[in-house]
Amino acid sequence: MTDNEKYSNHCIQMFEVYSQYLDGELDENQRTEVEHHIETCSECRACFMTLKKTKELCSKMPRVKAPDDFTSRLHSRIRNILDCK
Amino acid sequence: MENQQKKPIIKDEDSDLILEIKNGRTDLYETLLSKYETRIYNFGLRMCKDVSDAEDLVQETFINIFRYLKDFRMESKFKNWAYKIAASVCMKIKKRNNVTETELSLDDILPADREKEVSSKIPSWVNQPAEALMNKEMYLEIKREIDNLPPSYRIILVLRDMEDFSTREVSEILDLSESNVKVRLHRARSFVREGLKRYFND
Repeated sequence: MTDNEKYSNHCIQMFEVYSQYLDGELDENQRTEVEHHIETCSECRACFMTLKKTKELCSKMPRVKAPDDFTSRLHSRIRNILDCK
Repeated sequence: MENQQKKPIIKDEDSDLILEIKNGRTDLYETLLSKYETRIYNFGLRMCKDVSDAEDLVQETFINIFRYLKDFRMESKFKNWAYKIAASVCMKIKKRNNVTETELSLDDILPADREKEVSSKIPSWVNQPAEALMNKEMYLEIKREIDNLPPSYRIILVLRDMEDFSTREVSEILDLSESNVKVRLHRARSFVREGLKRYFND
């Protein structure tokens, strides 16, 4: 049995729009339907909550700085291109 | 052409600077470069997973930006135009490296141990602030999961959740329909979610 056979069609239908819910992309009726589902389906609530935290964690991933020697080379390369124009 | 209506110019935080550079103030290139180099470098690292390829991506992207800036009609935000160029350079590097593309099916992303995932057991990490969770180990774990995404899913998660573009902007940058972006974003997030759940359960 594949994983998705363990789910009701409604659970899968709701699961597919969780990201749109989190991104504020659903209309009011759809939002209410998702909210009602995660309130009443305990398994889906845990899934929804972990997805929400995953999205938040991805958005908090820090940026790294490019190596200084690389940025110096980049700036001088661009300067040369502009000077040649 | 009679039917080709000119689109309005988009005013954004970069418009004045771009106009000045287009009008000959090429000495201002440093300002533009400094503003975007770290962002594009990180986009490159996340997409290419390799420092040398990321550096190639940044260099090629900025060369193209400054080469074609005169043709940029400012009908989109500069940032969006710059990332469109970066995404196109990314595709070239992917092709050069013979990176294969795979699809994520529903089976890949649906919770694998759903039976155990009962409401009374919402994992404790979910209730902790993201800032408190984001240590080096967590950073590396999320990075690993994102690196494991097929490139066509990874680019959407990176642009949407890490570079903060809207669905519509991502669809314009990648020339995809908005519905395609939404489906791929959800699958990408769900894939990362599965990895994090495993990490926290271990």
